[in-house]
Amino acid sequence: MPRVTVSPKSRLMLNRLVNAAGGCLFSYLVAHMLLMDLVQRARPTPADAAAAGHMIALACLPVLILTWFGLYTRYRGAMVVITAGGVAALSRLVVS
Amino acid sequence: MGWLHGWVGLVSGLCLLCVFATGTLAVFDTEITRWMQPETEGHFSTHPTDTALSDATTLLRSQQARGIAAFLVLPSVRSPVLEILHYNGHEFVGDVLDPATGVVIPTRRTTGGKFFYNFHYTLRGGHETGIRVVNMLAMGLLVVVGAGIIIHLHALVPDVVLLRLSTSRIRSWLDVHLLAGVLALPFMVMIAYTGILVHADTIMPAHSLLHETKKGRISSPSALPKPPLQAVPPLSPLLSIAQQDLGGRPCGFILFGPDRMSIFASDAAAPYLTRDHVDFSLPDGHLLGVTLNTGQIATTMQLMHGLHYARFAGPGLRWLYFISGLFGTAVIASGLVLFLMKRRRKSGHLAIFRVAEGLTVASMTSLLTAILAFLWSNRLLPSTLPDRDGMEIDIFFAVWGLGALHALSRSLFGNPMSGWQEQLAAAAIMGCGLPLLDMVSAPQALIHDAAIHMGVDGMGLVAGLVALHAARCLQARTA
Repeated sequence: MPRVTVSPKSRLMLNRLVNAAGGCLFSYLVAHMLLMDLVQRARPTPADAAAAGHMIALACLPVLILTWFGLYTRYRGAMVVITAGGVAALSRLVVS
Repeated sequence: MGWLHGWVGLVSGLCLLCVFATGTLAVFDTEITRWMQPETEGHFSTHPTDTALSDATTLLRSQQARGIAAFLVLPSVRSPVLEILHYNGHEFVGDVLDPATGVVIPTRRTTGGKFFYNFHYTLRGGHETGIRVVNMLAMGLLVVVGAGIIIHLHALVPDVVLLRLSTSRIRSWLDVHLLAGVLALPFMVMIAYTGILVHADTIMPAHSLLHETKKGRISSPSALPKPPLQAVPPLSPLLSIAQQDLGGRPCGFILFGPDRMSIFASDAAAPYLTRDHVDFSLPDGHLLGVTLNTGQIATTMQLMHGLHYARFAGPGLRWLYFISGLFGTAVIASGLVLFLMKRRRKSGHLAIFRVAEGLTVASMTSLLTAILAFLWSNRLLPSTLPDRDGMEIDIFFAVWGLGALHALSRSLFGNPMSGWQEQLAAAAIMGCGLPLLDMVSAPQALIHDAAIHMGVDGMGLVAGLVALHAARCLQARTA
């Protein structure tokens, strides 16, 4: 059995860093998908669509990051964020 | 959540402290500019005369003929002078004219409060990169505030006003952090969110991330023949028409093209930061059209911008913004101090901890000293010195850099408390000395613009006294 050389504290810090980085990345992608959905839905008025999309997506982004990082038990936070991303992606396919 | 709040708070807080502090000063950027140009004292008129407008347009056209993209700013309650400004890559600078006579007021060259405004949203890092960094930091602030709310949610209402100064130091600092945080919470969330929306496209472009923009051939501006600059007709009748077409809102500034001009509504007219404008052709002054940005979504976004810029705010609301900004700065500062205090016993010997402490001193006390040095340099540098506006900024960064070096060296050599004390002492001397410097260097301006000078000198004095008190407390503790 290979010996574990990384101390438990460093391992915890590394896990948290990876979790935070992954959470930020996925949350950003989901928020951006949400923005593109809104822009695509209101094609005739792209400027207003972009403005509305920015207001909603940028309000959701910190909530998504906190959800990902906060609900860490059995990766519930990650599942919520990824599900939201899936819904945004499906919605975009339906619209187009 | 505690880990997220602490570590993201540390990393982003070191820069956010500078953003928040300079943003707080930018609330009074016009007033600070007037303090730094005492030559404008006594010029009070929000209604420019025809002579003044004619002289201003003549001067503006001569600058445009030399390739300077100048525009005309009309007098307002906060700045009762005519200004011909252009963008120098960082701030809007230019000539100041008497709105009664049109004579150029021989003011000293300075960026004034606009330096703090520019630093606040770009960190002097270039228009695109700097804005992107500040926007990311603002998003970090929202995450940290959210994590803080979740951590403190159970005690949010019971402990809303709790300050125990007689208990342990960590507990006292935590109470300061919580008190300032809870009181400033709505403001911090509002200002961070609206700030991100102002340049939302920089961190979340409204096009596909995989989209490749086509790089078409754009002919360089110098290759195209420059159209001749048409003469400008008398502005007073056009301003009246524009004000009428803008629904009675006062006119703010005028952009001049070669053959057309656009009169924009004043930002101070309402909380909505519109860019509504009325266009006239040159040289005949024929009305070309009125552009009103209406619609529910556009109006909402204008409100978001208006709430952040606060140009509509009167003196009372402006002071409320300023005090809230100070509370927000105190939240971030106390959070950084708490982070260090909690980990000093276990990690105080580590190099990374000492670097973090050095950077914290640099962000807090060195920045304060640099801001005061910027104001001092405005009075000490000769008013006729060429490029003195650049020198004032160089002095700001030089003092900040030296302070950071001093803080890091003190911290790395195991004497961080000396670093804190010495820098607090320097800030105390410069802050308490600011009113005396102002009285000696600009006594006439002190009489004619008493409110502005008392405000700036008063805040400098308060900062100096707070720094003095902190230095004495540290000295008593380490003695």
